[in-house]
Amino acid sequence: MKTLARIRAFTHFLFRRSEVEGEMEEEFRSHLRRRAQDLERQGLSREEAERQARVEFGGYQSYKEECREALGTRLLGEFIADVRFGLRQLRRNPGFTIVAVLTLALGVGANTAVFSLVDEVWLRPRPVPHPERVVRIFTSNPSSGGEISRAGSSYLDYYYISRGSQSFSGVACFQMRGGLLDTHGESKLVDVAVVSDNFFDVLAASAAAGHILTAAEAGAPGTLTVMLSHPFWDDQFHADGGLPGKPVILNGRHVVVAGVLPRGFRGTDPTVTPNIWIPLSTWGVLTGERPTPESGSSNPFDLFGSLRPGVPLPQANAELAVIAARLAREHPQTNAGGRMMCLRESQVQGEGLRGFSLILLAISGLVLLVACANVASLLIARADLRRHEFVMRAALGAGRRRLLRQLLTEAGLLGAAATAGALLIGIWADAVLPKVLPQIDLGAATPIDAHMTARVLWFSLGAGLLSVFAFGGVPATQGSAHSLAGALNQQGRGVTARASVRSVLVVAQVAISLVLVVAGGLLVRSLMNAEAADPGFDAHQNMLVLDFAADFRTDQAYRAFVGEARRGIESIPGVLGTAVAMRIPFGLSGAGATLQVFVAGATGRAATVGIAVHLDHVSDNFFEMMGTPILRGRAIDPHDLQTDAHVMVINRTMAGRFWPSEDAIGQYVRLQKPDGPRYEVIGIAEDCKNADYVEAPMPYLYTPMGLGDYGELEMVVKTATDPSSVASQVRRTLLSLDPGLTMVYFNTLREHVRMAIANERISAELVAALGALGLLLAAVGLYGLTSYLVGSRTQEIGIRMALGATRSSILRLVTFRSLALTSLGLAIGLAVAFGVASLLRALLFGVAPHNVFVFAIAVAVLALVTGAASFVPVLRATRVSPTEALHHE
Amino acid sequence: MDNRARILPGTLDLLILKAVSLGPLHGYGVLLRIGQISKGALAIEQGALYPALFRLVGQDLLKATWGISDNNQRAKFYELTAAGRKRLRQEIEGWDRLVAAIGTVLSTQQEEI
Repeated sequence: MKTLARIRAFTHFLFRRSEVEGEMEEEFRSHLRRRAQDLERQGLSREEAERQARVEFGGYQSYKEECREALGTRLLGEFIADVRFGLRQLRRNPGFTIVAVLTLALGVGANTAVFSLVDEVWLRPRPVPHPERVVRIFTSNPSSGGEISRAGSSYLDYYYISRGSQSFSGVACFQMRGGLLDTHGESKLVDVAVVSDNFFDVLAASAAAGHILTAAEAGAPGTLTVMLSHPFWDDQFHADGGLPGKPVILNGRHVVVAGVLPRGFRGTDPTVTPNIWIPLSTWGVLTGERPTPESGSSNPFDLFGSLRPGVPLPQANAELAVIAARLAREHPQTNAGGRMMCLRESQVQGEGLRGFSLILLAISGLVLLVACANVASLLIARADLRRHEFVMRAALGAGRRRLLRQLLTEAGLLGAAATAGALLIGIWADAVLPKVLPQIDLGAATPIDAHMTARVLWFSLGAGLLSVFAFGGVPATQGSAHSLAGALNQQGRGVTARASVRSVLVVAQVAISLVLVVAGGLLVRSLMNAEAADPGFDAHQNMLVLDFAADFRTDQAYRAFVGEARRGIESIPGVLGTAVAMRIPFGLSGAGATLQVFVAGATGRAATVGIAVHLDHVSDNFFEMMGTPILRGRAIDPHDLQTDAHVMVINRTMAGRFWPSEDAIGQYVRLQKPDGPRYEVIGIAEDCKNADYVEAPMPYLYTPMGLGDYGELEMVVKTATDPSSVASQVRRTLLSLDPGLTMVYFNTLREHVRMAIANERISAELVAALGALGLLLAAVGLYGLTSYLVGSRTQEIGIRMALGATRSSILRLVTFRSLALTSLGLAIGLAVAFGVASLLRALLFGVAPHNVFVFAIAVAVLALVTGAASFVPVLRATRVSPTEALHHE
Repeated sequence: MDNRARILPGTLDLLILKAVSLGPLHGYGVLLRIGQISKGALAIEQGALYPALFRLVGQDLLKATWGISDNNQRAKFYELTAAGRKRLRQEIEGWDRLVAAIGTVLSTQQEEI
C-alpha cells in the first residue's frame, strides 16, 4: 500500500501540469480577492477596490509566466541534474553498470527478436488494399472423407467458386511448385508459386518495382510473364530496379519479369516465401500443365477470395454451401458430400506457427523477468551501499520524492542503454535468424523475412519501459525510504528487510529458470528422439543423394541415360552401388504425390472415388541401397524395369490397412480409376518416414520406374568411405554423359537427413538457448545475493570465529539461507513447470510432457549451478579472519 | 513618487524568508506581514511576490501546502524548511555584516583616515 502511494506521488508529480496551472490561477485570484476586501474595508467602492487591487498586483499574465518559468527551470534543472548525477554514479561503478545493462539488453533483446518473428508470421496483415476483406476458402477433398480440410482444393472447386459466387469480388488460387532458374550458366531450383492469372488483381496492392501483373496481361497469348518476391529480388538480383521488363531464363524459356511484389507478400505458408510467382497461363506454356475442371481431384490449390464491400462472412459461407451442393450434384464421382467454407485471412495467417510463437514469446518473457529480478536485486544492493549518501542528502533537505526520482532516473538511464542494446541484438537476430531457421539447402529458397517494423520497435520500447518500472520501482522505494533513524541504526532491520526482498527475487529467479530449463530439456530430448528415431532406412550410411534434371526426348534416351549413368558411377572405385527413384525420403516434395487406389471388394467411396495413397517409382536395388528391409515377398528387380511389369511393393502400414486379415502378397490393386491399370503386390517393405520424422505411419506404394515424362530424377550412390571423396567423380561422370544436365541437388545422406529435423533442432536450440540465458542470469542473481548476505555478516562471522566457531559451523550458518531459498524456488518452479510442460505437448516427439528424467536433470542442473553460484561467497565467509572482521566497520 | 524605499535587488527573498519564519503564511499574508514589519516603509509590486515564492519553493527553502485560511477559504500556505531556516540565518548574518561594514564606512570621520 505504501509503495503504491509512493508510485502515485511520483507520477502525480510528473504529470500534474494542468493541475499546477489551476493552482496558480487560484492562488493569484485569492490574493486579488483578499486585497480587494481589505481596500473595500478602507472605504473604497467594490468596483474601485477590485480595480485598485489589480493595479497594485501589476502584470497578472507576466507574473504568471515568471512563476511558470521558476517552476519549469526547477523541474528541468532537477531533471538535468538527476541525469548528470545518475550518469556520474553509473560511470563510477562500471562493473555494476555493464552487468545491469547487459542483463537487461539480453532480456529485452531476446523479446525483440522473438517478437519480430511473431510479427512477421502472424500479426502483419497482407500488404493489400483491404486486408480485412481477404478470406481463405477451404473445401473437403476425396481423401479427407467429406470433412473440410486445409490440404487444398481441386481446380474443379476453384472453377465452380470463381464462376458461381457473388460474394467475392475475385477468387484466386495458389500452388507451390519448383522451377529451374538459369543464372550465370548455373541452374537453381527455385520455389515457384503457380497462381491463377487474376491472383494479383485480387490480392496485390502495388509493386515494389515494375508493375503488378493483371489478369488480362497474364492471359495474353504469346507473352510469358512472372512476378518476383521482394527478398528474392534483393538476394538474386541485388534489388536491381532495371530488372522489370527484362527476361530471365526459367525452365529453359525466356520469361519477362513484370514487377516485384511488396515486401511481406507471401503465399499460404509463412515460413516459405515463393521466389517467383507464375500465372497459370505462363506455367502452362512452360510445363504443358494446364489444369481444367476435368483434371479432377489432383492438383491441390489454396484458394483466396476477396469479399465484396459490405458482404458479411456468413453470407459468403451460405453461398459457398449452395455451390458445394451444386458441385456434388453435377460431379458426384469426385465431390459427393463435399463441403466448402471460408475464414478471414487474419484467422488463418500463421495458424501452424501460432502455438510455437506464443511459447517462444512466453519463454522470452520469462527470461526478461529473470533479467529484471536480477537488476532489481543489484539496484537494491547498490542502494544499500549508498545508504550513507542518501541519509546525507536527506539531512541536507532533499525530499524523499527527490531521492525517489533520482533512483528512478538512474533506472531509466539503465533502461535506455539496455533498450538501445536490445534493438542492436534484435537487428542482429533478424540477420542471423533466417540462417538458422529451417531452409532448403539450395541457397535460392527464401526463409522468413523478419525485420524491424514500427510495431517491433514499439514492442521493444514497451518492454524496456516496463522493465525499468519493474526493476527500478522496488529498489527506488526501498532506497528512498532511508531515514535518519535508519542511518543511526546501521546494522539494524534494514539489512534483513532488503535481504528479504532480494530473497523473494532469487526464489522467483530459481523458479522461472527451472521452468525454462525444463522446457528446453523437453525439446532437446524430443530432438534427440527425432535424431535417434528409425526412419525405416539407414540414415547413417555413407551415401550421396543427388537430384538432376535433363530433357529426355524419348523413352529410349531416358533408359539409355539412366543405365549408362548407373554403370559409369558404379565403376568408380569406392562406389558400392546405385539406385534411382522419383523421390527419396525428406525430399522437397514432402511425402510425395498421391494416387487414387482401388482394391477389389471395396465399397462406398473407396469403390467410386478410391483411396489416396502416396507413391514412389523406384529402380532395382532401391530398397537394398537405402537399407529398407523387405519384410515379405521380394523387391523390384531389373527384370521388372525391363518389362515395365505391373507390380508393386507396398509398405507395412498399407498391407495392414488394406488387407488386415489376408496375405497382401499376390493381391491386385487398380490405380487412378476403378478400371485403371492392375498392379500385383509382390513385396512388403518396412515403413519409412517420408516427409519428416514426426509424421504418423502412412500407406505407401512403390512401382518400378517406368516410362513417361521423367524430367527430374533422384539418385543415391552408396560408397565404402566418406561419400564426399567421390562427389566430384560422380558429377563428372554424369556431365560427360549429358553436358546439358542440370544438377539440382547434391548432398550427403547424413546432411540430407539432418535438414529433415531442422524444425525440431531449431525449436530445441532456441528454447535451450533462452533457458541457458535464464539460468545464467539466475546464477548471477544468487551469487550477488549470497555475496551480499555474507558481506553484511562479516563482523558477526568474525566474532563467532573469535569465540571458537569452526569452519563447518560457519559454513552451515551461511549456506542455510541460500539452500533454503534455492529449495523453495525449485519447489515452486517444479509446480509451474509441471503445468507449463503440458502446453509444449504439440511440439514434443517421443517424450511425455512430464518426463521424469527431464525434470530430474533440470532440477539437478539448477541445483548444481545455484550451488556453485553461492559456493564462492560462502567459501569467502569461512576464510574471514577474526581480527580483520572486527576492523570491518 | 512616495517616500517609501524601493527594495534592493536580491533582498526580496530575504524579506520573504523572514516574514515566513514567524509562521506559515499565504501569499497575501506574506505581503501584509512585510508591510506590517516595515511599517509600510517598503514598496513591492504585489505580483512580483509570486515568482519569488515559486523560486524559493524550487530551492527547497520554502514548503507550500494547501490549507484553509482564517476566513475559511482555501489558500496556499508557505512555511520554512530546515534548509530555509539555515539560509535565513546565513542571510541575516551576511546582511548584518554588510550593514555594519557599510555603516562603518559611511560614519567614518575625516580624522580617522
